[in-house]
Amino acid sequence: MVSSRHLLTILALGVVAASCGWKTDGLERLDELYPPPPETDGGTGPIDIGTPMCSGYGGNWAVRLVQEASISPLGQPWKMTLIDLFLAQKSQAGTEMELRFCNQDVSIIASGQSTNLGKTEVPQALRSALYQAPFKVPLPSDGTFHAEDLVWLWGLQNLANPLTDPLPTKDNYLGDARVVDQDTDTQPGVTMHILSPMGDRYMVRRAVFTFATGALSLDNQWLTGDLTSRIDESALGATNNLLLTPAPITVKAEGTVYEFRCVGATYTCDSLARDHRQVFADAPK
Amino acid sequence: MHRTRLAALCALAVVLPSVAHAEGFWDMISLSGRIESDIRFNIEDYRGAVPGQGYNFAFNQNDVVLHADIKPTESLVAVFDGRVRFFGFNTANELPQLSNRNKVDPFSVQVDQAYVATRGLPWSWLDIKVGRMVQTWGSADVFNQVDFLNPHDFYDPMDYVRKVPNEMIELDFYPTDWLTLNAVWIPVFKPAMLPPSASLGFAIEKDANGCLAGFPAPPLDPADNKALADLFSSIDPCSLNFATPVVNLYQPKYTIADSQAAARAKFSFDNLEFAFSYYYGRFAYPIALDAVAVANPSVTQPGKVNVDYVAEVMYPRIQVAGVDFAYSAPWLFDIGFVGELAVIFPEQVNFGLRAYQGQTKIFEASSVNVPSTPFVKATFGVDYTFTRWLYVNAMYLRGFFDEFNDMYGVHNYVVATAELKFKSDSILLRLAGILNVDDLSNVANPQLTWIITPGLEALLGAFIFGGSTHPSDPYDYAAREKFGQKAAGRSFAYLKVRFTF
Repeated sequence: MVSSRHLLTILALGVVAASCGWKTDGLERLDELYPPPPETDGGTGPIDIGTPMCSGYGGNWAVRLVQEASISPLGQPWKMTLIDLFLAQKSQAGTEMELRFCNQDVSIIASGQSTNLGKTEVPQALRSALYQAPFKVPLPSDGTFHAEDLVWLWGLQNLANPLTDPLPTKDNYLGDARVVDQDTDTQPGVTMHILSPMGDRYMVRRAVFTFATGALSLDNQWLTGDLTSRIDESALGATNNLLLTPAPITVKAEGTVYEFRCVGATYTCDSLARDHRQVFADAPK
Repeated sequence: MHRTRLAALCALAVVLPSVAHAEGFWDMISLSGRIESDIRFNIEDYRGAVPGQGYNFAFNQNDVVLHADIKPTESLVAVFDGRVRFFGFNTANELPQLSNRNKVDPFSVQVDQAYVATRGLPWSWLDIKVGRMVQTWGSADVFNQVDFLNPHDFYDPMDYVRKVPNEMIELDFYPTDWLTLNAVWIPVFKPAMLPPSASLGFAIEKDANGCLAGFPAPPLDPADNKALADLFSSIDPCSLNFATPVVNLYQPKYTIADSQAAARAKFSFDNLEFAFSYYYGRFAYPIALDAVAVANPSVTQPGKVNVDYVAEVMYPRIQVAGVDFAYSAPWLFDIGFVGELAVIFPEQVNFGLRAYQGQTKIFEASSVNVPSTPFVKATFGVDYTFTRWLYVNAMYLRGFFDEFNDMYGVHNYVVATAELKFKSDSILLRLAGILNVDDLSNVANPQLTWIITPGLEALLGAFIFGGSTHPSDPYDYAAREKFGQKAAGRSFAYLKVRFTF
């Protein structure tokens, strides 16, 4: 005989069970209303780095400068990873490593999600201009690899004190001979494309790098070490008024490294820009 | 001539039986109704969409209401409730529309009930009703927490009792004198009607220069709402062209699973009535589900950014177990006690919001707007007639009509009404008010009724909202004051004249 108490319990459990699993999710509904674009293949297939032939610092190198940073386009700091990609060779005199710029890979994470707000893309004209003017890292005569306070300038020349001089601004750059149209697009400084808010920013940029003593692998395939980086940017103009104030970038020590990988003589910038995550996936830590 | 006489005879042969039938027909009909004129005037100028909108006529409405019961036999009845409503404001704004009566003097025809019922057929213990009906379950006055059969019609926020009719099938069983069983099936869900002010709950606030001054917080964690607001904080608010937000309804499908069903067992004794009820269906008030904001540089206004905001609301599925009672205490001055308690088992609703700059997603956040945890809504009240001229009714509410266990939450209220009669009951002063105990916002409704002659009365009153129109925390969805927020409506004075027959 089922008592009324048991009956009520069974009824209550039935009600609860019937509503179990009822759920409507707003983000899933948004996916239904506004389907996200299909994921693009990030490049997981085999890569070809040519025939690497390096001896000491000699040979051809694919280089990336990984800078873990924060950027604050809206006041709050967001996680930013900025990777400068180069192809490098020792200079003919053997006293410098010449890094020729290939591209820059930027990712910004806000509230756990990737965002394009403040994200930059380097136009082809600027890539070509920076490739033509290699960034030089002196090689110490003792055979080690390290360098301090190397200044890499975009759209600037002849700074009296390259490390410390204030950068020209949109209010005072006119007539400033230090500002050069490096990418020859008739706009002051260099032109950087911004994904969001979308537009072009005409700007100058200074990066100051310190390469801590590097470790060359025994097989001469890898050269890696810690990197210190400081980035200053100043907007001289923009196609969108919202871009006239570059968000400050603060590079952190943790995770900021330089990585060189020996590659074949035919290895190209395009290959590096496409494959760098796989090329450096096995870099010694 | 002969042909003419023959035609006249034929006509009489047709008409006379019809007249005879018509006399029987009119005997079957019981008619009642009213004609009501309702004029309202906004008595403040700060609760409109834009400050300064006030001291003007809000309503100029005239209703003709007709109720008819048609009883061909004792076991068969058809019921009709309808009204013609004239809104009283010209809506013509182009010259050609001045030739259109519906524009110059707009009206609507509304049928609240149209159903047929059998009594004691096919068995003496069974009544069947089929058609368009308005039903109310529960014991309390107006604030029926166990009542889900018809959503409210809050087009007129002062008319708490008006409902949206539903097409339904109802079976009423009478197994004993003291027990009534009801079973109802409503195939298609209809949402509650909201007052015109409801859209202000999503309204963008602008200052006198038309620049963005704020927007209502969506149901997200306050930290996420701040991050969302920060997206726009670095931009000149005058460069943002915010379009009027669009709020779409995510409606249930017309499937069997989306229909509604309810059952009730009501026990009646001398001074006590109580009932157990169950409802399967949907909450009839909209709950926020998702929103998307899209910002694009203006093509026509260089330097400005157009922002569109599209939100979506839904009606969560629910099951409700309810109990209600009414008790008159002969041992305590015949004080009346009423109570209703509903345990609601809701569908979980996760709110999601995304912001885009062009095609690029720049912000995403989500929250559990409605947890699947069961929650309670309740009403407990007492009423007492002190003297022939003084009646008092007081109630405690846990949960207003539109409240659900979302991020706004279920609030607590005190409702009190006092009615005083004068001049041989020809003058009635009614003082009613509702206080939100949680945020102290309130609404007051004083009303003076003059019964000019039986069947004709004039009512003069006011409906006044109290509380802040601004939330205490702009990033907190729950910080809006219930009756203070503009979405609650305007404060107004009214004059009604009602003829009842």
